[in-house]
Amino acid sequence: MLVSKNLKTNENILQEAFKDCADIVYRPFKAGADKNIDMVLVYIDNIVDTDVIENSIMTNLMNRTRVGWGENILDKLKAEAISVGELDEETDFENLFTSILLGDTVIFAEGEEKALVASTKGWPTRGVPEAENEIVVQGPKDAFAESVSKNVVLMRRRIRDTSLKVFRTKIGRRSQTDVAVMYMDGIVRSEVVEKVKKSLENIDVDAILDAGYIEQMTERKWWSPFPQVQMTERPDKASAALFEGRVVVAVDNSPMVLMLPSTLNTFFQAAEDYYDRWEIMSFIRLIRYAAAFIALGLPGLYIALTLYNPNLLPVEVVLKIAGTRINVPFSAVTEVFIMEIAFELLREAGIRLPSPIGSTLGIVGGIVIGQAAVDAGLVGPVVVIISAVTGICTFVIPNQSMVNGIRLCKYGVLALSAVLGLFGFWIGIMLTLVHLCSLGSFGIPYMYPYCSASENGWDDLKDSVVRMPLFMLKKRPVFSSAKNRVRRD
Amino acid sequence: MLFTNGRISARQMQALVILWIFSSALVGMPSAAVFNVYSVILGAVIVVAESWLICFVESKMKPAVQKLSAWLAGISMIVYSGINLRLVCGAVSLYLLPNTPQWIVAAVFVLAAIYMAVLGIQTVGRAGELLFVIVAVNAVIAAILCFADASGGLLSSAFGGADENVIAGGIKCACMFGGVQALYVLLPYTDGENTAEKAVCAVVIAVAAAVLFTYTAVSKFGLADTAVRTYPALNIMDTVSFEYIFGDKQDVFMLRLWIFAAFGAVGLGIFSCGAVFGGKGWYMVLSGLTALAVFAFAENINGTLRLLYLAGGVSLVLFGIILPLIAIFLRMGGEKK
Repeated sequence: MLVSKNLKTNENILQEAFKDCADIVYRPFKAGADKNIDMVLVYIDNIVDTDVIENSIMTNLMNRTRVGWGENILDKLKAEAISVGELDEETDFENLFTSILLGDTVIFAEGEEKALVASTKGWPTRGVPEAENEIVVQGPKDAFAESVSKNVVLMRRRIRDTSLKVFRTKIGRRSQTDVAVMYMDGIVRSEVVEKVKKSLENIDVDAILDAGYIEQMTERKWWSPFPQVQMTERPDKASAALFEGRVVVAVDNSPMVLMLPSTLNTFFQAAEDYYDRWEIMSFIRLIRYAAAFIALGLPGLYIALTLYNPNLLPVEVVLKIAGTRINVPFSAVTEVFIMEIAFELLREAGIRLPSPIGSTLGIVGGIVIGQAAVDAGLVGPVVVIISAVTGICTFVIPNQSMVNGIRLCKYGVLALSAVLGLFGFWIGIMLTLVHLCSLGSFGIPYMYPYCSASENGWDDLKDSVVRMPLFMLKKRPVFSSAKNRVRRD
Repeated sequence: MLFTNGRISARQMQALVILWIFSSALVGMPSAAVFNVYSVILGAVIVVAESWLICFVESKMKPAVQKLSAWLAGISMIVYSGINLRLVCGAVSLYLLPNTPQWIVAAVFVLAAIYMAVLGIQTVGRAGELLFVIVAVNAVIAAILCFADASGGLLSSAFGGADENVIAGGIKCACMFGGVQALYVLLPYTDGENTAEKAVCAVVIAVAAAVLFTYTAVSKFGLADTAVRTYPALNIMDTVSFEYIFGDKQDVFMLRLWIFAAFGAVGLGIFSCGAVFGGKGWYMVLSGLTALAVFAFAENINGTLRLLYLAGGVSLVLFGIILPLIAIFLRMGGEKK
């Protein structure tokens, strides 16, 4: 449906489309030198910046224009009267509806077959918040907020290079959610950018309410418990990803951005890994990987050894464990399952509760209930320690999505260990490894650089399990274009 | 883009070749080396020569001959996979799960290997690369601990006892290495330059490792004692004393190393057989079931080792002599795939 020359017709179309919408404002007025040009402003109250409307549009149109009737009114007003930074023309009503809903102001004039769309967005926003989930000891504290425009600004603040490209699109039939795809031209692989854009184009849903929707809809192996797209709330981490040749996707109304491609290695990297000395950060990286293995395998290993091969443990340890389990009525497998499920319940309860109660619950649940269970003889103290250590190890891993994947796989390894002992444990580990090897993210193997590292001259291993000194990280990772892989001489 | 072209890198090919050869040789070699350790070295040389010949002719074969070679290699590899499976299940039953029926252990192992094979050659390659690292690290630790534990007799006791003809023994030993026919299947899937040289290099590494462990087993236990042990190479850590780490069963260290290698080998075998005959998921499942059938056929460890010897002999003659001769005779001018 196109804009009509008749102002009343246009108004009727708008009123029909926005029927029963009490927050739509129709502001008719007369403009021009002789005050004989009928015009109307349309906008949604409370999502526009009314100062811009009043000072830059209405005051100028009403009092400061010399345009006469029949003189290509809107073209002249656009060039001489309206002092708004972003001002477009539009003829299609569907696009005008979208603009109004996004906080723009639409200006109609009698006798014109088009309308002007002035950028007057004034959404209520949070400002720049502090990072809540990816806390660092040393490094910037700012985080993304819900406004995609502000999030792009936070990136521009860190990357003052014309190579930073921002491609905007809208996803969601009804939500028309703004999405910004950012990449460094010349550094990124062009095929990855095209794949990302195509993936976004193929998303056909009613609404996109969070970046998580896009994450799940762009993953190829949707059945895998492991994330294939990384998310972050930190602008510094996202900026670093751009310099590595990755693509960052910001979604309106979501404080998290997507970074892709992603590999297992990227999920074990934290922002502050590069802000402190390489020795300590390498040590912490090793701790993270060890923690991941412990979180995945410790309960299963405990069951395998105590049930099937206690002779593999030192005699004193075996006697100690046996002594603590004398009065426990359940088998080792049941004990471990009870404690693991209890820990999961505590973890979920702690997330949902308001923070003052949540921390208290941690103390009550962890100490009181655990101790009470041991005193009652329902579980042995060793199993409590096993579950606690496993849980603590999951908190060491910097990415929550990766933690969730490991948490789920842990039960598979546990089940195999319960049935087939140490052999089952090894099979569980190998199956997890094979599954990780089968994953990929926009053409990059998930286990890179632990496999196929020779593709980039083994350089990517310098920033994997350990982090070598910054002066040694001369090459960008394999995500980047082969033509521009050298960071520095 | 390299990662999405359905092929593996040269490094991954090397890792798979090493796992393939090492997994059979670690258990098979000591049983054949009981007569003369010099035979082991000769057997290794024969295997390396065979691999060089295969690499030389493979790229020059006509497509029809290449396809035939791949089919025959696929069949041979699934037989080897069944043999490996039987040996693994025997060891698991002996050391870890004496009360669990071996068919359950075999079924779980094969299911896991089928899962890997179904995911394609790139997954097999990447998993093989990682499994190789795990196996290599463990092997190096085992080698260091064993040599550190040696009480001076290590170097001397392996030499001597030349009761059998060295050449006959060498041929016998060559049959006990995992067949190099895997190269017929892997080379067409491999990207990169100088893949033939890299394949031969991998074979050298694998046979050298197998020779080293066989040598260690024979020198620790002596020829006579090695002959009566079921898995002598897995027992080489027996004398290493790390009570607070290994408890009472140091063999589990070597067992883990070997099971990881065998998993890579069996997965590769199932993939190879499935890929040459169809390539899709169901063919991998059928290959896995075929490996289980071979497992069921081999009743006990001694029978399995005899089967390994027989399969090795057929592989040596067919893939190391007949097929290369055919290719050379017909002056194959085929293009490399």
